[in-house]
Amino acid sequence: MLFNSHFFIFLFLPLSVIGYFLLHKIGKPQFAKCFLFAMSLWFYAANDIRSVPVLILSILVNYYLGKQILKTSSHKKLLCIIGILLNLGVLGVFKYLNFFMENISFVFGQTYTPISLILPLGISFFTFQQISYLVDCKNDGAVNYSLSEYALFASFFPYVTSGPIAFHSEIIPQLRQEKNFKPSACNLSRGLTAFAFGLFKKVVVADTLGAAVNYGWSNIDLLNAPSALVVILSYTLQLYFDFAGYSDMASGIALCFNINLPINFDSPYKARNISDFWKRWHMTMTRFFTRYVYIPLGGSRNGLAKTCLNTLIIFLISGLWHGAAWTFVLWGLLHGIAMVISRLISAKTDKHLPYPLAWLLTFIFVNICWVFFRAPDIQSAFNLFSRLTSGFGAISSELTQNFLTTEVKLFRFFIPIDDSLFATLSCVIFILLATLGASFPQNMQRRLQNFKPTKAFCYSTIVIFFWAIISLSGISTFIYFNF
Amino acid sequence: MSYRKYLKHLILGVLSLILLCIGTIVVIDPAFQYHMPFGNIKAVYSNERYQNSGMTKHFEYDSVIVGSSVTSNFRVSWFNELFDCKTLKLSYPGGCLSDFYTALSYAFEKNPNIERVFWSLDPKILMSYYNAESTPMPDYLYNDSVLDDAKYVLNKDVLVELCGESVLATITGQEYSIDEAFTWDSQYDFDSPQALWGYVRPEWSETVISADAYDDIVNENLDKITSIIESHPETEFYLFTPPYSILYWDRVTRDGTYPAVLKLFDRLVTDLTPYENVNYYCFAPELYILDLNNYIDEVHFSPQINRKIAEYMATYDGVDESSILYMHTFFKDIIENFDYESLFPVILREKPAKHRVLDSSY
Repeated sequence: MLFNSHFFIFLFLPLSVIGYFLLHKIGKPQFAKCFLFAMSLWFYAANDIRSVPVLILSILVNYYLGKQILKTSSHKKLLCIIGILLNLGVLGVFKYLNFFMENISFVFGQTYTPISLILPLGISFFTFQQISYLVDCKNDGAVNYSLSEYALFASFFPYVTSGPIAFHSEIIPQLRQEKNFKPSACNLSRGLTAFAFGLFKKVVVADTLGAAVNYGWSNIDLLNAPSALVVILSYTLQLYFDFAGYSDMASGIALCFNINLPINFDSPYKARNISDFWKRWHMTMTRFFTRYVYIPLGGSRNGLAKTCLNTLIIFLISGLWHGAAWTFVLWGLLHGIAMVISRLISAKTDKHLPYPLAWLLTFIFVNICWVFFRAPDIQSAFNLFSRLTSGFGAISSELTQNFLTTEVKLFRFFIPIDDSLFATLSCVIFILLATLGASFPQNMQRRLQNFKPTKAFCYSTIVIFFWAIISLSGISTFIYFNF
Repeated sequence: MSYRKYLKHLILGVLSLILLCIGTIVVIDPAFQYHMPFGNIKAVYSNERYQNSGMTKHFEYDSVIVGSSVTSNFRVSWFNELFDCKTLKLSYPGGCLSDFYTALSYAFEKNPNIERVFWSLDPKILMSYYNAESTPMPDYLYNDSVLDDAKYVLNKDVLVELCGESVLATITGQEYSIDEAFTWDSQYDFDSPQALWGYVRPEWSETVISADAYDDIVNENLDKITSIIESHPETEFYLFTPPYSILYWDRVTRDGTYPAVLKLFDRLVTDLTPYENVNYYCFAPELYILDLNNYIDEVHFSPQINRKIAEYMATYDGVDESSILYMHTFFKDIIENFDYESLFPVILREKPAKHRVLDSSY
């Protein structure tokens, strides 16, 4: 079940909200949590029923281990390490076993037949959330939660499949607060507004760009320089609107239950350098790695060289976290190198490039890195780059056709130009507007913090929501779905 | 504005627009899901995948044409006249075998008394995966459940494009005939330069591809075809292999799949002709495939050839196992000895299609 489905919007979400608050209203907060946990399991099972036992086992084992860590005073560290290894073991088997075995076999000149394993949905997210819980138990940063509270925290459907990586200390206290037991017009208004804009970003903007990207990557050899550029830019923007859309929807849904999720996404394409970018992109993942890997490694306390090494390690892990492939590792490494260079420059000088130039350089670098992120293999990424020098000409019409959406075609009646020119114009304007949209306006996450209900905002949300709902038909999946 | 008021306006506003959208689509019903056009509302035939299922539900027919874009230019009136029947055309440009299977299964579900099925068995499709879907099929229209109808009644493309076309036709009074529905032949010139224009000539294959290489794919596809034939013994199946142009044979000769293609042609005869309710026709060994003036590309032929196919099936019985010898002779004498270089003017040899796409000055 996807957020961007009729079933979710018209049945699952209303049923969950109404059921949750009705149970609270009759004075059964434990039942309300159990109900929401059951709904989360339904949501999760609807996406991939085979993964449900993995999620449930993970919850039970981590809950039990957390209890034991809190109870004991002498074996805290040992139990915590066992817990972390268990979690990483499960993640390693399901996500990385084939990748590592293939590479080890390659090194030893052996052939390896991949084992057919399911990749439990959101395993990277719920594993990390629970590792953070175990570490906090060890550091006395966690309290005794009931099983229903913990299970709901680990499986809450707005974030279980694609994040953000929320900490127990952010979610469970909110579930306990009595003022959150009643539906709030303020939170429902903010939540539905965020959901509407997120849905729009996903189905109207990201999916349109996605169609062009898919065409480009399937026909690299046919791309000339402008077409290759369009494919690269389109993917950068697709990823932005896909992830921004998802984050808005997740925050919006959680708000309907009076739960504030941590901000995960803060206009990353406004970043003036790569360090700034990582303070804005997938913020909860960066926060997790900083708190649970970078700082334990020594962080920036042991000199510049060690700091740079730690930074590189973090980004290599981050790359691997996104996918078990060398393309992701290279993507992480490139970002790590850029971070190291940025840090070295900052250590030498306090001077900054003017914002427009710094922004442009950062944006270009991020674009280049996304090519590796999207590429099926490293060679394909270089093939796409090589098309940038393959000569100029018109943007491929097969590529521009993807921008002729129903709404764009409506303008066809008023613009009497050649069909192919119209398609090219649509492509260029779409990408320009998407770039401006990603670079200038305040993002929804920030806007929600200062949300004021006005008529104009209400009516624009109605139109956006309706527009997004009638754009749902078709096949689309979230990019940030299988990490 | 208070939060409560904002929330109320937001929910009511969205629900009102949704109801308006549902109402518009249900009343106009451009894909005929709930009813045939009534009053002055005009039917516009513009999207087969959406409209075929509704036509299957609400049209009167006792015969069905099914297949890829090579069947689009058949006129149902030809079949009505030649076979004395009432025909419904279910063509799926860019379709794969699962599309045809879905369409035919649904047609039999809605009308168990179908007397004839005219089914184009494209070699390219039979040698592709059963589910090799290049164009998404709106499966939600091919069932009777109302639970998934939201994808139809809350659909931007249906609302703006299909309903829009219908409203426009109603306003202008333009009539669209079912006989011309989904045909595309008037949009193209059938001649050799057009046929050659988009053809990307493959390099000679360096490896030998075994004749058995496609067995698994072909077996699955033939199993699906024969399962429908066996489930409907009272229905007469007119199955035919469409006449792809000589460019197709150039391709399979060069890319190394020629032995597998020959094996497929043999399998079609040996596997399909034993069924009493099957007439199988193979239009590959025809001399008109050598003339590219009959084509717009590698596989798509002129409506005159569509007409010939219909007339031939109405006049003659299908092939039997003895025809394999004739097919082999044709392939050996004509296809294998054809001077393929003669097809290509010098300029096209110098600039194959792959490079023409990149060269805007061309």
